[in-house]
Amino acid sequence: MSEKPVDLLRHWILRQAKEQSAWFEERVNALAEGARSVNCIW
Amino acid sequence: MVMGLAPRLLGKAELALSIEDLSQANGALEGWQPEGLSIDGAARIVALTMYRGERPFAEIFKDLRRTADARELVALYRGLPLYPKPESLAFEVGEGLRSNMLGVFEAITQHNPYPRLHFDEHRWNHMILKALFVNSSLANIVGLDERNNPELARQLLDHVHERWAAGRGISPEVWRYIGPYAAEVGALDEFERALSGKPSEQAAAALALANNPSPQAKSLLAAHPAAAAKIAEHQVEQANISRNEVV
Amino acid sequence: MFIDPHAHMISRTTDDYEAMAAAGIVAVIEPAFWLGQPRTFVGTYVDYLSTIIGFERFRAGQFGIRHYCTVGLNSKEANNEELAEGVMEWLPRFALKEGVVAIGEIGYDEQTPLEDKYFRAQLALAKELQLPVMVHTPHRDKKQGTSRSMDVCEEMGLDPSWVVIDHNNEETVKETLDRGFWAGFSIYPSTKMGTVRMVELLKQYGSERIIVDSACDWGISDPLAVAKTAMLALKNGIPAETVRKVTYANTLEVYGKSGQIQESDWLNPPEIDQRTLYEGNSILRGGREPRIEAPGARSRDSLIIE
Repeated sequence: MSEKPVDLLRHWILRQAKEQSAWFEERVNALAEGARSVNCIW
Repeated sequence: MVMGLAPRLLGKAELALSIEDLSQANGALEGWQPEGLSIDGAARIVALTMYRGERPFAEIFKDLRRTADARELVALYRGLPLYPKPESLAFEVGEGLRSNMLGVFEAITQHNPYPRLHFDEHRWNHMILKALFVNSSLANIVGLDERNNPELARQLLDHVHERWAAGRGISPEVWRYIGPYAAEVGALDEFERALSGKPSEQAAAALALANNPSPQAKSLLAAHPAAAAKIAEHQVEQANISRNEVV
Repeated sequence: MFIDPHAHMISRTTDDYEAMAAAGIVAVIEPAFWLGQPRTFVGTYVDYLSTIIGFERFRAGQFGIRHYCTVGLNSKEANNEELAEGVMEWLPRFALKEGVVAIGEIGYDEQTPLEDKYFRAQLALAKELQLPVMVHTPHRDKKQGTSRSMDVCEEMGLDPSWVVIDHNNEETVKETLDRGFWAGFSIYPSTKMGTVRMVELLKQYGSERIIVDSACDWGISDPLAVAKTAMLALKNGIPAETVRKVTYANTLEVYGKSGQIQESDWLNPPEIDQRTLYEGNSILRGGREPRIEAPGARSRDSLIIE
């Protein structure tokens, strides 16, 4: 099954991120929902 | 603040990728080469790709690009193969190509399938010309043979003349892209000179002509057996002909 | 190895970078400041911050010098309220960029109410973001202005060990040190501190919390000031460890609190930086002795440009 490139990247980051995986996952999910509180993607 | 915090929280180490990972990458998106990406750079790419903001993607990209630091810029441009609406990013990509920061320019041009897929001929040619101007290796540009064209061959020939007139070296890489159009653009004399030049020049020129089926190319090679002999040696080592041998 | 923690490299030529590298300067900090004539559009300020974070860092890297910067709204341009408000909106975004080691250089120029307002606002920002502060002290009414700057830092709840009070002189140094702040000295001809006077100050005060910089800019100034001060100090019997502190280690200690500058940046640069942003200091790698030579000295006499 062929994953999308962005999913591959996500997977590789989580594999390497250790303590910050949770932070990263949470942020990306919030961005994907276009959460207003995270309008500062910068 | 994902973009800003990524390096502080995830660190800046290179993303550890196995051969299988790279193979998967190519399978997911042909020509995509994520090696050399840093973990925070990768996170920035994921963040931007996943972001569902209200504005058009190109506007969001512009907003980030215009105040990005150098490593952010590198990440932004390395992510080009992944972003939505790639055709809408022409201006943004232009800004990156015009950058004076080598790493930013190379983030677009090297190991990146985006130029092959989306650049028009003019932009493609000017990318190659700029790479030569700033001593950036051509070898890692994706799609060089596929996107080659007679106008580029003509421009590269002018580049050769200019450098010879100034007593400056030429990257041996250029001959390959003039080769297919050697007769068409009137480069036979120049090939003659290269075939009698330094070893790396000879090898590069000979290899370039080997792919040209015209009688002129064949007779040039026949007239320079020493250079022609290098074809066998270098055939599988095209990568050896690198900018590091600017003569 | 030396660090120049106050150098407006945007106004300097590559001759300066070459000379600095040859003299043993491994890193510079470029404070955000005014540009010789006032900015009148917020956008030019924003693009300037982008430049000292982006291209200037790259430019320095090509000469083997690691470049860092501070961001902030300077005291002169704080008097243009429209500009100031606009810049303050953009500042937090720039404060998180790579290589930004402090909020600065901020403080007073003339000590107007608007200068005061934006000084305080930026001290609050620095505290919130946990960044050190670089304070510019006024050139007119300096003694009082410096005292007042420190008063405001304390009022705003800043820890003095996170604040560098720059452009000190014989009249201000004692109070700065007594109150627990870092004391910066700008070795700048005619208008600020000189090397001979600096050596005297080192004899008197030692190395604790003292930092030497060049503040080189658009005016007649010397990008080799830190190296020259070091040389003169050593010649005059100042202990090597004192010299090392005031021309290298102290800078690292205070601005290192930002997490954006550390010795390994030039002693052991990450490979990814070497590929894209930094050529490495060939002086260090080659093990050659640093030498002080006026910028452009070698090329000045040659008619050959290739």
